[in-house]
Amino acid sequence: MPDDKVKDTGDHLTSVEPLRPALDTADTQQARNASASELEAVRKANPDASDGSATPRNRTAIYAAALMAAQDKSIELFDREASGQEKLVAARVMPEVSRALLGKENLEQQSKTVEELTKQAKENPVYEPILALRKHADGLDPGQQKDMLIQLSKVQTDELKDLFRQAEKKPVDQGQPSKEITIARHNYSPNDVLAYNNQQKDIATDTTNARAPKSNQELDNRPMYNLGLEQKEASLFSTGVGYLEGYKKPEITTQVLFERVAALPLHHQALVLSAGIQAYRQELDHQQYRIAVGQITGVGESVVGMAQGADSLGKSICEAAQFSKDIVENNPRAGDTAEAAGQSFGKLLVGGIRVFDAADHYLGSVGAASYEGDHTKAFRDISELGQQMNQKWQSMSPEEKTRLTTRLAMDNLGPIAAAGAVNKLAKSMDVVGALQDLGKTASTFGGRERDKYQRFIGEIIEQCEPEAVTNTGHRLKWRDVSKTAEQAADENISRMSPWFEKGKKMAIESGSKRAAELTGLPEEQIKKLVKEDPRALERMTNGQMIYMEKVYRETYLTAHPEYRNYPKPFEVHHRIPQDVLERHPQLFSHREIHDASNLVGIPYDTKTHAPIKDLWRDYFRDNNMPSRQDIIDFANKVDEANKRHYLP
Amino acid sequence: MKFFQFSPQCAGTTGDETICPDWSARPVILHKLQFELESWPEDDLIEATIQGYAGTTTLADAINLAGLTGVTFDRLDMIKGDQFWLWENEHQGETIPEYLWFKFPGIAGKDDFGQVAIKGIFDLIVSEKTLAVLKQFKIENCRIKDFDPSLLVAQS
Repeated sequence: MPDDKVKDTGDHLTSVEPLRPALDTADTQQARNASASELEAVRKANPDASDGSATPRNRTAIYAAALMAAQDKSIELFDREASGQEKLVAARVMPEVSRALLGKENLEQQSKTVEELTKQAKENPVYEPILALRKHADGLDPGQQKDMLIQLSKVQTDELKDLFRQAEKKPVDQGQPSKEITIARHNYSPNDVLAYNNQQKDIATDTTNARAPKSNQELDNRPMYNLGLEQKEASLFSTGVGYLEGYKKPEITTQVLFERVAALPLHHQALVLSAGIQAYRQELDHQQYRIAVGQITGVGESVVGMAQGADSLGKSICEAAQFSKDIVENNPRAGDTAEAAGQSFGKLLVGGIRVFDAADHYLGSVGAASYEGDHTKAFRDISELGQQMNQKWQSMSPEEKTRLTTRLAMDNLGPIAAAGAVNKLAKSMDVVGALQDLGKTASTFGGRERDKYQRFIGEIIEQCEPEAVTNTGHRLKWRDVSKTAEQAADENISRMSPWFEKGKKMAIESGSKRAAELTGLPEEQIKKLVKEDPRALERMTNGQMIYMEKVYRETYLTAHPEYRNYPKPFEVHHRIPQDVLERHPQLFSHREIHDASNLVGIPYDTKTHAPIKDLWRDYFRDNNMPSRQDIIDFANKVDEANKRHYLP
Repeated sequence: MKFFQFSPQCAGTTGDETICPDWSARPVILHKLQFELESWPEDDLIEATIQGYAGTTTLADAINLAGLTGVTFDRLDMIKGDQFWLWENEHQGETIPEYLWFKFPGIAGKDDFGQVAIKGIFDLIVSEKTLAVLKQFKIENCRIKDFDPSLLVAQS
């Protein structure tokens, strides 16, 4: 009886009051709230677990035997103590690399594995991060690190295969979880999750249509309309978006789906999150992502509400990752997206998903040496954001923390809940961990309470954003950055097309068409290619075409964010003028001309831009065939004479 | 007759739609002029770097009326540069007058308008009579220098 259990737990806690401080720690709470699958994950990770054989041999023993076998291939560092006795300081066992591993057959086997993994990733995006890991590993020089990562990718693949195999065994016609799962203090039975019986077989969300021919396979692809906040069923779907025709109550809510993801072991959570980032950066198919999330959580892809839940998950993690990237890269865009990103983090955390822990765990599992791999970039950014938030938090005085958390908690949670939240956060050194704990706790509350906590967590994250550091060493709070210059530029500068062609100063319209002509590739393929690798077009056309997304004024302001709120209007001046792109296209590329190093700010009221233009006009009139160096030298002369007017 | 070097206000540059068969030729010969404004055109005669000249229709009328030689007029395509909005903010309520493409096929030192290609010399050479007409208009941002006709002999 679930109710009795809850009641019993409450009584028990009251009766052991002296133990409360110990029970209040994050680890204890996590252990108490651990779900069945989390327990299973821990069991699997236990090195001393029995392998189930008649002659019990635990993993420690197996590993010890392996060590013994390879004992002559180890590195050990000894230090001699004062007594003359040697003391082992550090040791590393060199894994035995079998010659067979380097054999032709083995190499073929390896490439076959990559091929299989590629095929799997094509069908199921949750395999993408593993494929990326495997590719990264393959690119490494032979050695321990490479072997470790290859092994890890194999283990992860096997684990995922098992997980999906289990999901496939479930009855497809119902698509419901076969077992009861425990998430935090809530017990969800399949009946709770799938209480609504879908009778309308002719619409896209039933299982029949989900397996329809390819053209009809897009799930939940029905016309949508905004139901507004007054919708009575709002608690069932937090996005406020429903279906125009044949509306059906969701069988699974976004919150429940998030909780199911949160119930997965951390490294599986990381894979789901990583696939979500890729899917919502348009690198992967959304439908495949939804199917994968449906399978891995055991919900089934065709359940009503699944598509919305997966969309919400993918968008939230994508926004959180993008914001983390912008913060880490000092991109001023972070100032604009902070609020939305805060909400996304809040949603994920209140869904019980420990985003920061998942990122850290994933990075830890692939080993520090592979941190530089592209596939870990999003997690590195999230992890870095977490660290920066903690640093910021630790730099605040206790009074500041209390004042901030009290204000935000009172505004969002109300006086009763505020006390507990403020207490936990203000005293915490690890604000990220505390927010994750708070989110996990809030995930057990009702819909309205969760919304409040989501807002609260989002606002705390916004307040903990690190400061922007400009090239000149100035520190700016993102919040304080005036958008005036940027807004003005946005309003007045027509968004340039990102396609540039040699011989023309300005970006060219229909650039993708021109790029397709030059490369002989389909236009869509070119568009996708430059999104993945902006320099690819340059290489393919031997510099004839260049893809650059940034407008040069934005490039300048990114390099000098302190001038975003500069009180005087100023022009961004090209030290080497853009004219050379048209008149001497062989001398400089668009990338060089619009590079931050070629840009200076000249306040409008100095009236310096006009005389500089006169100097260049005279120069070009008198020098009809200048060399690259001639132009650079003249630009330096112009700088020397006018730099006092440039923004410092 | 006395002649002068005349360098009009440089208000912009030639846009990508400008047609020029050879940018290294001096004087530059344009087949089409797209004038890209980079600053507010204060004067009645302005230049787009390099050697793309534009003048107001009122100035063109005055030149015709005065019977000046060595100049023809054509239509041009005038566009705003990507930071021109800064100038528009400073000139709110003002409008840019209509400009024509001023071409100078005349012979320097002989016609009222002409072009030369001599290092260190402004390329537009105008007669005293022309300067008198120009001075009736806004030419505050131009540069004017005496012109030594012997340079033409040296060039030839």
